[in-house]
Amino acid sequence: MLQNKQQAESWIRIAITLAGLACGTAHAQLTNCNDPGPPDAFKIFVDEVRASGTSKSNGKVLEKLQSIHKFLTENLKASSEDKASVRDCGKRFPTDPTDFDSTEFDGLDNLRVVLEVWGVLDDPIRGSGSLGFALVPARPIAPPAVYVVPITDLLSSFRQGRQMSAFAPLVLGIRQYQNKNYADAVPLLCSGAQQLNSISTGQSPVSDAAFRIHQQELMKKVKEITDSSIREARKTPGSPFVLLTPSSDGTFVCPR
Amino acid sequence: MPLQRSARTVSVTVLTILLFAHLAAAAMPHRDCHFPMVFEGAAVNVVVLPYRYAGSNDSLTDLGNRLSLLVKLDVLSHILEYGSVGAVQMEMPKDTAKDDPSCVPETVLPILLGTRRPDMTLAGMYAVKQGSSNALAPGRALVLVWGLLYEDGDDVFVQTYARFLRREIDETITFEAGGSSFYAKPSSQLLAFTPQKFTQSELKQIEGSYRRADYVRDQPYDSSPGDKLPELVAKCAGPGCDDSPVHAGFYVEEKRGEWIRIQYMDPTQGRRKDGWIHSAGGLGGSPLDKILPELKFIEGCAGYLRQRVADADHTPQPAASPALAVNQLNAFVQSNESQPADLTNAVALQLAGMVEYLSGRDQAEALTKATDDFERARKIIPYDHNAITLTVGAQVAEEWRQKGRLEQTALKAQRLSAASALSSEKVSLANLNSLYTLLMRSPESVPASDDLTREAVREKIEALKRVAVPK
Repeated sequence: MLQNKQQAESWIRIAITLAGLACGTAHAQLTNCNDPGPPDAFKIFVDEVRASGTSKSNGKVLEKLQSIHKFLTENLKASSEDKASVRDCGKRFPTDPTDFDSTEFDGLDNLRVVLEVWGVLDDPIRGSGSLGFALVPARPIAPPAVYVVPITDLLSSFRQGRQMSAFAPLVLGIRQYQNKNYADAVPLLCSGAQQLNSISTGQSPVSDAAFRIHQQELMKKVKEITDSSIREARKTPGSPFVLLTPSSDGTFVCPR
Repeated sequence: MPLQRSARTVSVTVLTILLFAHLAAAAMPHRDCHFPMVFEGAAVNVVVLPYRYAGSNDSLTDLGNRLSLLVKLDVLSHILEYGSVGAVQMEMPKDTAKDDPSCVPETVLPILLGTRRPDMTLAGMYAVKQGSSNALAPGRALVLVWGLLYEDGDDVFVQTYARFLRREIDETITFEAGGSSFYAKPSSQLLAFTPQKFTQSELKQIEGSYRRADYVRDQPYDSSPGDKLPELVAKCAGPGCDDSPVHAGFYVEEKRGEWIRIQYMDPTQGRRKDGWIHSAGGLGGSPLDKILPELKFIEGCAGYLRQRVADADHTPQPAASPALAVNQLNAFVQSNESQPADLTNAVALQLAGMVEYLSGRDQAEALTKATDDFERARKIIPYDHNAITLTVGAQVAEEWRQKGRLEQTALKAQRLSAASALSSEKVSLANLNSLYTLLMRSPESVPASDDLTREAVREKIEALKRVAVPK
């Protein structure tokens, strides 16, 4: 019985994976990730970091692009711990944030990808460019869930801004919420929200106005789903969430 | 010819400090990344893997090896006072493929923890020798350090990572108050530190410092005659050996300023020798841990682990060790103040608090300091159940010892309730139960406005009984 159930689940997963791959293939804008990882695990895709069209890709620039890619990969690994598998997606790269349309998001979602990250280096000398983040599970709650953050100096900003990896626990928390794993969602949402908040309030806050507007919208939604997660978790008999008391406005919030 | 390969790829430096009776039994271990090792007699081993370069610049690959030697030597010279510590530096041989995974923590750690064996058919001269082992003994501690280098124009960024642990023992600390116990552990044992920038002049200084540190000299000054460290070699004898130089193992006998006096076995002459290494020369007169403040964390972390091992073994450690560990951890937090919200700061404060609590649980001042450190950590990561419990546990222990009662009991209950919800561990519920049990045992008095009444505590105990204990 159990074996049959496992087989059925396995077939469903394979079917979903194939559907996801088919979506990715049919969608011409983005090539498939060449190392999409195990089907069961949550994944973070790290795409190529490219020089923009105006800059020349000489050896030095390529070294720098590799450095940025490696930095992104290693810090995402550290921030997601063992909760997601960080995958090097080779040459995969969006030509435009709108490449992440509903079809692409569905394909990624089916592959259990929670976050996709890429980078563009505009000025190799100054190091200016941008980092892009597609927050796959956030699409239904805060569309378009694609953030492109302009950065004055990519590597120097990393030094000050490892908070970028805040997106990892956040998207994992949203995904757990969507999967109705409410108790598991709450710690991740609280951790991600705290770190995301530090992007705009820390010592080197990201000042881009568009990013900050999107970030505030996302924070508002995260607050809502944190409250919702705790309420839902409390419905489970024996849940420790019944021990929590709401704040003065009647909502449940992360510990402060 | 696997043995030839292993001999050819030797370029490991191994240093150890065993400031106790193991000197006579000292072995001379030789390991490269394919054959990680620790010193089995040491309570704490610090193993430094090479800093890897993200690109293909060979000079930076060399820099990664050199930096790891300097890091190891600098850490070593600052943890001598703890006693019973070993330090191992590993290097990737030059002709190894860039994508060879032998030197990454995912490969090395399972071997050091004994969950995976290295391919000893390749070991040859790397076979386990007296005093060294592939894996930590149960209860012994490890700080594994690795890093990445990123080139940015003329500058190079260095990012260090560290993982700390004891084999088969978790890092839980117990707070005792009035017969009740509270359990918590550090919020993370894997840390990514803030990348630090090296300028071109500092990179040149690394080269100079490496050259100075890579010598064992007759006297503790740089112009004294000496032997280059790689030439203090064992010559492999037997089938499959070649003439590659092999770094030897050393035992530290004395520290004098930036210098350490070591004793080593010269296998070519078959006799013990001693000499001086400029282990903490820094860069251009500036201490290395000023440029890489995370070294202070690593040093303090070794001190924390030394305390835990000594406690578990019921053995004494040098009286000055706890204060040294706390100073090193606090120095890290101060130097990392540009990143006030960083997890590394929170964990450093937690380790400092744990050392203070463990070494001075009977002293009011130590308890107060521990409580302050835990509270500072909690403010950095207020969502973390261990950060919450460390604070409440220390507050309870301190207040109970000093006043025989608890204050702000409503807040304590609220915080431990949050910790129970945020954690999937049954110990969190046990902590909350301990708090309520203690409150019921407390002498009755008129509760302050921020205290729970007895009736409220009874209600909460009933509510807690309805919560399912996690499996």
